[in-house]
Amino acid sequence: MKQRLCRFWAALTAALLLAGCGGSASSQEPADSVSSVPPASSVPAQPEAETQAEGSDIQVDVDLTTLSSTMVFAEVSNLLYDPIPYLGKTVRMQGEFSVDHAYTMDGELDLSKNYFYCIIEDALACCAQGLEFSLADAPAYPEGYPEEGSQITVVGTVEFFEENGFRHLRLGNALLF
Amino acid sequence: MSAFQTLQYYFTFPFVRYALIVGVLIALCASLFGVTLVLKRFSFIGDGLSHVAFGALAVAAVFNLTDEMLLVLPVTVIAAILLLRSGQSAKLQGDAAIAVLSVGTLAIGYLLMNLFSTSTNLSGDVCSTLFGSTSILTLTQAEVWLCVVLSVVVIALFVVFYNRIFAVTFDEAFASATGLPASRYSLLIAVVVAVIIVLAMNLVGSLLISALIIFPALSAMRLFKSFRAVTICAAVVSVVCAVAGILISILAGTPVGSTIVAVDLGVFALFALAGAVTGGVQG
Repeated sequence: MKQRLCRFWAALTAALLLAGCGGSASSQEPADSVSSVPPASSVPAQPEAETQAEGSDIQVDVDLTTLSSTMVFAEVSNLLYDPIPYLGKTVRMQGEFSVDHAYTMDGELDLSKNYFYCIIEDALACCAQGLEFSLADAPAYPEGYPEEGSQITVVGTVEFFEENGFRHLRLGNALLF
Repeated sequence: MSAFQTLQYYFTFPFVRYALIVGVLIALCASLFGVTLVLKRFSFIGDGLSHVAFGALAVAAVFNLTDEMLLVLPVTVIAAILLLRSGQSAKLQGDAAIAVLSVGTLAIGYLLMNLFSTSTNLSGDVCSTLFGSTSILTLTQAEVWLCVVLSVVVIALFVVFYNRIFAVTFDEAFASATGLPASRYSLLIAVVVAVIIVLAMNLVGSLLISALIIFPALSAMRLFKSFRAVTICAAVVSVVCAVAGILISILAGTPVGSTIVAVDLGVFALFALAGAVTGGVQG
């Protein structure tokens, strides 16, 4: 009996080892990475990587474009629920461009005031999260922005801003790629 | 960057370390009591209780409770006790009681969330609670400590009452005849299972909890025959599958809960094959 069991485990181990040999640098390889600002305790620094993405020449503290979709969801959740450790850090994110418009006190659409978001999909595609950003040169909308729904890369600094007595979180002084 | 380097980088994130700690503890607790539940033919009690926990979570969300655990844990424990009592009554058999509680609380929970939820992402909340898409990666330090304390209590209870749990698992009537307060130990098992269910909701979501309880025990039973060997093997299988599932999900970007269950399923298939080839081990 034990001999049969040993034989089975030997065969299984060999099969697993052979399967391991076939592995290659996976498709999950992060798209890019830029390293460098010393890490805060809960905001790890980026490792060096081989490939480069749009705007990758800019140094960032948190590069969401190098993380898997599961990790991106968790990191963005942490950023939204506990933003204090991230304040002043530069973040690079990739996602779908979205615009929200303001409303007047009468409930009318106010097209002069717009809010811009980068919508980041998660692993289940049910829990997409959006992060607001404000471009450094503040171009006029819609001329200075891409079409809604197009893929964008944004690099900006995490900051709070106040509006109507409420404090909001966004990526300020942002660059759009 | 190689997968190893990527993992090394991911380990610098505190939430990944929290997820692994909590994942290992929950998997260990679930597997220890999973053997007892499978042998007592209570495999689906986990499913019923997890749906109760989902209903309680919905109520907590409606009332905007800051600490949902304060409501979810007591409600699930009470449901476990009621389930055990109704399981013993002749009017409502155990499996029927579980079915009633399971679908009833799931429906009420979803209904409440739809009618009263203030969340802007209802489908996301429900999806995350039911399938545990990434909940394990968004734990706070306080939640990790609560999980550690509860897990240590659960493991200590299992070790201290190992012989009595063994007796109650195999023959409750005989255990009672020998003077053991079997019904009290059955109650203890139900309460501990309720605690495990609430903890495990973070790891795999409420729809997939049964897998965490059943698969390691069933896998171990394909190869081993003694209670002790099955328990040890189930614990090892469960922890390895949980760690592998978490690592695969963060590397490949797949949902955590279903990845862990998929690994559990794969290991079960391997053990079933091994059991068929070897005929099992008498140990």
